[in-house]
Amino acid sequence: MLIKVKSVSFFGLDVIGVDVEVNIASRGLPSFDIVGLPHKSIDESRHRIKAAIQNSNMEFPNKKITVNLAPADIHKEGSFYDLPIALGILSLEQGIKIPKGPVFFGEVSLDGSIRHTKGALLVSLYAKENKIGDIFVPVDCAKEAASVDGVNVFGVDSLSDLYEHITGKKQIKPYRFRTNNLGVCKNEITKNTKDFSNDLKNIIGQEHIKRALKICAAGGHNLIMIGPPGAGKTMIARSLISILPPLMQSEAVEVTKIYSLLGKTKAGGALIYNRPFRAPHHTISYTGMVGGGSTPTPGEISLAHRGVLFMDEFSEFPRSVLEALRQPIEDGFVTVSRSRGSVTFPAKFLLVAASNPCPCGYLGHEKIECTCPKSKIQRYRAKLSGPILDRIDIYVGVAPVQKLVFSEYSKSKLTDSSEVRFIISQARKQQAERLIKFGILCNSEMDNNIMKETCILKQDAENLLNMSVDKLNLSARSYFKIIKVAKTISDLDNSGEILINHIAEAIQYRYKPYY
Amino acid sequence: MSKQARVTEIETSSKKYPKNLLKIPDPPEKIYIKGRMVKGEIQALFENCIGVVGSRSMTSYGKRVISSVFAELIKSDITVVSGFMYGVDIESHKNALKYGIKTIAVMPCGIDLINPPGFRYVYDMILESGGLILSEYNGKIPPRRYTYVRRNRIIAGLSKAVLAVEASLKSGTLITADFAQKYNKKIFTIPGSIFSNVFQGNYQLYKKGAEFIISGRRIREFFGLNLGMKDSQYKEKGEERFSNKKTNSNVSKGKNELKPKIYQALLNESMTIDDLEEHLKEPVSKILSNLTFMVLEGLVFEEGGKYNANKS
Repeated sequence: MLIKVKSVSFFGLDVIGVDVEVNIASRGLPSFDIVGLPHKSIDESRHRIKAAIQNSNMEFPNKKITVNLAPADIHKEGSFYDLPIALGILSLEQGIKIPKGPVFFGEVSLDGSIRHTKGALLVSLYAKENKIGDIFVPVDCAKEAASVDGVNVFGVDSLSDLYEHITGKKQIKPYRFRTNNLGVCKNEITKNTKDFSNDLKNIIGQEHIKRALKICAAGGHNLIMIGPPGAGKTMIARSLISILPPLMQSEAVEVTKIYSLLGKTKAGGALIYNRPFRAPHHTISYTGMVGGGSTPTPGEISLAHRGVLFMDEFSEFPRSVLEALRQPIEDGFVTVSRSRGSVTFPAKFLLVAASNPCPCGYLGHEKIECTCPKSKIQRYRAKLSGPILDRIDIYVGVAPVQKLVFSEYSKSKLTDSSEVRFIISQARKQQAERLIKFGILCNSEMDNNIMKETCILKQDAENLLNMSVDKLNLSARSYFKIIKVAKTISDLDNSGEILINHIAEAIQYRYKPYY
Repeated sequence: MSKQARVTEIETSSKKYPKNLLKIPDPPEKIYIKGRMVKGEIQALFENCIGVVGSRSMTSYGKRVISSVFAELIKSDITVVSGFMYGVDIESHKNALKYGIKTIAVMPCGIDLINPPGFRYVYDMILESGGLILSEYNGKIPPRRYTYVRRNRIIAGLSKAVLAVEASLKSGTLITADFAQKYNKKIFTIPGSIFSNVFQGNYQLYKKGAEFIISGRRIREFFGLNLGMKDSQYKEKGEERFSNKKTNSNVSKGKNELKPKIYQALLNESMTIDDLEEHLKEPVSKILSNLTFMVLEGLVFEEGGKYNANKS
């Protein structure tokens, strides 16, 4: 007796259809084998399934059971084959018919319940693409999977639930969102983006860096902050998230896909509308940052996709890790090639780097003496220079906060992140309208040709820029970076062209060897 | 460039030998000098020497002190003697060159060795400007711990006065100052924050009889030079210059009332952009763009993340 149940297999973010073939032989010694290049996690599912079926008050057949995961020549990994295998055995044993179309997906627990399983969103995207109408996923993943239109998502609570559904005793209803007329589940967005632990209103004073943050958020410019310890660099970086506009539906899907693949979505959660904030420690390995492993998994840069990658102690990161960032910053994705094949992960992030001016942190400090030998400082700096700095548009020195009492004036200037977010969304909208024909969305993505077409400098602004090139020894590269940043400033100003004061301000954000 | 300069060997018996140096108890028997000067000039060069010494790891405050003091010694007959090391030493040489002051670098190593090698450009500039490289060691002898101390004695010996810019306790600066005291030379030092490590040594020097100075005027006075302008005149000059700039400037047309306010604020103390923002209560974007204009006009300069008014 043979039955085929549909399921899937993941390779990176790609999903491949897999047939789970279950055969119960009428003769032969009792046994239970799974073939088709299963990973250890699949091999172990035999024990889970047996216990789960027995604990659901059903009979586990004492016969020779063979399971094949076809196609048999690709490696398979993950605990989600439990459900299709268990279902195949039950149907053969009990003689019930399973519908041929749907995909089954989920890890079973020993008590027969179905656990939250990673990758549910990918399954429903696969189903949509391949016009598979129904999918059965764990009930905790139903909301996540149902974020994709046009797929009926059945949330399965337990093995016996599913059994009753198939035999027609008790129906499971497909999961439905209550959505507003835009097709977006409204309460999801507001709930997720409303409260940020690091709101801009918590930062008193520091208007300089706040202004830089706004520009960086508006134009998608990468940012580097240099300053002594205790200047509030980390807190500032965290608040950047709160002023970025919330993710669009398509972006949210991209982000959730990555998190779903790694099992980082919440049980019972829907799409992630919050922009991710990733702050890897500087001891991170190359693989941890870029992604990798024998079956490639995404790294920090992909987890920061559409969000912020904050690299504190930027100069302390291994050189190889810093160099590896270059290509993804440029392209917005990273390709990881391993012996089992190569996988592409998206990696479009906003880089926020923070560094001390020297290893001890006090170089150029007003009152505290720097204790670093010069050679050490040079080595420290050497990491900052070079190609990675080319990709950072905004450079700000952060002074330490030395007062505990703030003036009424600076307190009165506090703005809520939500207000700032609105202004930034407007500026981003303008950019998108202007740049969409070039296939980009932000000012930071402009190349020189696009800049020539879209950035109109007023005559006096151009004079000022040319004069600065001379007087301040600007390189050709910083020349173009200044125009890019000035364009963002003019967008924030709602001005069609770049005015002289936009250029003048942008010049202040160029890279300056600090001390 | 440095290859062209010939090394001259001067013995104690020579007329060229600096007289001040002869007066110390253990003058070097031979000194080696490198430089291009016409005969006779060399004696003038050794005439009015001031040794400038200080910490290798200088604070931005120390850097400003050097710049501000040297600005008042501009194109005088004073010669700045220092030790060609990181920090205060190299900053002194650089500022001397910037303000057209003659400078002598006393090396702790052989006359043909440039140490630290990263400062070759300063080395060449010193030679080009008509300054001197001086050492009591020939060839390419590398520096040793003790040679630094020996060098300090030459710096103190050559000079009529020594300016200790930033001295931590147990620093080479204090060693030089000790020599200077033994040789009965005048010692100047600068006041600083009581919380600063690099000021502790200064205070110790003060207790031993060093004099605190707050501008280059006192040094001019000591060397018997004309006194130049008073501090208040500098301020006026700055303002005058500012108003001239404002009208002549081709970058900033039209009325702009923020710039004089920024300048005024910076005259009193150096400020970060955040300080300025709080002081002037104007948007940061406005302050930033105005600062760009002012930097280009030479009215202000940035250092260590702080803006300063350009008084000179």
